[in-house]
Amino acid sequence: MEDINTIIAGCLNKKRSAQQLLYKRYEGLMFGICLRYIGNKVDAEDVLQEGFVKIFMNIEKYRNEGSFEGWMRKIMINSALTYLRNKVKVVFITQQTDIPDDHHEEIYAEVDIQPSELMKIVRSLPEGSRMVFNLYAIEEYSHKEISVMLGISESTSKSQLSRARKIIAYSIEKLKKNNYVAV
Amino acid sequence: MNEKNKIDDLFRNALFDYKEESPSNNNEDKVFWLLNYTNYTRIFKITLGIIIIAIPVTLFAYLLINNSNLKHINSITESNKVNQPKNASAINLTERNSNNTSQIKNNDNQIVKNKIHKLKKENNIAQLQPSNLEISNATISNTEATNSAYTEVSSVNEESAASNNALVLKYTESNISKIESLNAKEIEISKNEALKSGILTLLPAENYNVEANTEENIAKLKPIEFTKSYNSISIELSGNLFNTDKKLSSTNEFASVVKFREINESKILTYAPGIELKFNTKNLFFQTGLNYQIYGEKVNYNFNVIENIINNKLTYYDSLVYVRDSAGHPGYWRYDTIWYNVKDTSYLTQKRIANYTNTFRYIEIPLLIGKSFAVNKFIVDISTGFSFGFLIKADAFLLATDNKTIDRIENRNSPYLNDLQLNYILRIALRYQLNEKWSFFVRPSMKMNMGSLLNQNQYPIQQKYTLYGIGMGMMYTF
Repeated sequence: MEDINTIIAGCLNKKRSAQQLLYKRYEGLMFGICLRYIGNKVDAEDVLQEGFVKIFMNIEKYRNEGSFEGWMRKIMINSALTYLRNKVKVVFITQQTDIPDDHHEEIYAEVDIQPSELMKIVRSLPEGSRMVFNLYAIEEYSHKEISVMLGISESTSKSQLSRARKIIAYSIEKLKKNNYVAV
Repeated sequence: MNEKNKIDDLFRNALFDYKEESPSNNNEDKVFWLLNYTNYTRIFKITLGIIIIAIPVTLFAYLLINNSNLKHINSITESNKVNQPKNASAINLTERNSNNTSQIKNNDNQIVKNKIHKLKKENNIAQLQPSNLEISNATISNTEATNSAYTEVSSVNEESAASNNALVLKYTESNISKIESLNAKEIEISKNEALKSGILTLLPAENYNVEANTEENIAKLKPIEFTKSYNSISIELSGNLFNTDKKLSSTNEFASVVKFREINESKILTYAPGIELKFNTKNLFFQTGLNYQIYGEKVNYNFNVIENIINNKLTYYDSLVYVRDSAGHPGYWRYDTIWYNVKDTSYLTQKRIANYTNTFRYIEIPLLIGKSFAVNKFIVDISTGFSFGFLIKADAFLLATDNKTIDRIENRNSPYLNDLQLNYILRIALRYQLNEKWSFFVRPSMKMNMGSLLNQNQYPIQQKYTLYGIGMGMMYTF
């Protein structure tokens, strides 16, 4: 397998073979990120393509600060957020819900849920909640950073996260129930 | 670690490096196609930018140089006129003025030829053969050529020693065949060329019968009148900037929606490039072409809606536990197996936000009639008429008539939109004639939708735009 630095050097020289190697190596990971933010595969593919074009066009801006994968990941996340901002403009923010908060049993650590199932749960979240949950829980951005990235207030970010967690809790409970029944 | 962090950890560990296989096999091809396309687009944009900058600069430089040459020629003409005696013969026409000819550049040949032609007419030298005239022109129009021509002529005519002028005259009368050998083939004077020269225009046919070079006759040779280009066709390229003003109207039933929208929507500036043809007649002109026009507004909706949401999809099992072992053995507990559906009937306060610039893009075909008024090189064109707009793209958020929901318009096929639009147009252009062909204009204009942009069957609020704008551009007359 080619060394990543060699591939990067080839991409810097606009070598198509190096670009293809880079694409093949990271396609799955980057598509996973896009899908996690976008929700549906068709649009995620569009974002994946746009993201890779940005990577190839701007690779000279990568200054070896941090991992290359992290840099690519950032570009892909930004592409996804831009896509969501442009294509899905309206964000419904639930300020107050009466969804009961006491349904969550000690399930999360014990259950053995496949990543693909978790992916489905994330994809089923509403756009706003999905964006915040991905950024906060998986990418580990702070609410302050998220508020800047998405142009929302910190409290909105928190309420979106809370909503996401509640929906996820319900979904996991349902999943567990199905598993239980199956057993 | 609290429960919420467990959720985060669960997902982070599972999904941070999660790889998903794309369902499409040709993603890679699309990426590289897109990469090529982006590169080509970038090159195209740079090229276009260079062209956009280069054309006006070249044009400006050309006009500047042309204007400068025109001044030279005029000064030469004045000088010749002063030195020219009345009843001058052909000798006067070909008089070699070394000071003047040295100033005449090669690219002035045509201008000079035309002037010579007029002077010949004035001097009643119709009897001269074309070949003679050609020699005369060559003599004056090109310094180097002139010198060689004179040298050659001198060598074949022994009677020409007295002067260069006499030399030419002598050849005119007796040695035509030899003179023809000079072959100034690139010079061909005609009435049409004179008219096209852009410097002078001959008066109608009777002026060609002028027999004497009198002041009266010279006076009849008027400068070209740029404004009277009868029965001509012009093409104009323009760019316009419009302020989009909008009027909403409805029945009382939807007055609150109209009011909300008026408060929460604001005007935007839009651009409209266009290419149009102008058919000029003696008194009027007719204009048509293609314009690209954007209508739209900025929406800034931000409001709360209290809704009774019934979520009948959530299903729970209850959390009752029971002791399975009825014999009294401890330790067996399970969730019961009784399932029930929960319908969440809570009221939710939802905040609805839409901060967006709505755009409705049209290709329009204007049909205009107008009249021009000229003062020297300034022309005022007043025109009015209609344009037919064809919707090509739409991208907008629209407050629904329930005043609660926001509908998305993503393309031109939305049922909310009318495909066709009729507009009234009024334009007043101030045009400056740079030369006979080119003119530059500044054009304030007004455009008004005659019908609603929205389909009244789907959205019972009329939405008509009135655009006020200013444009500028160049016009070329064929």
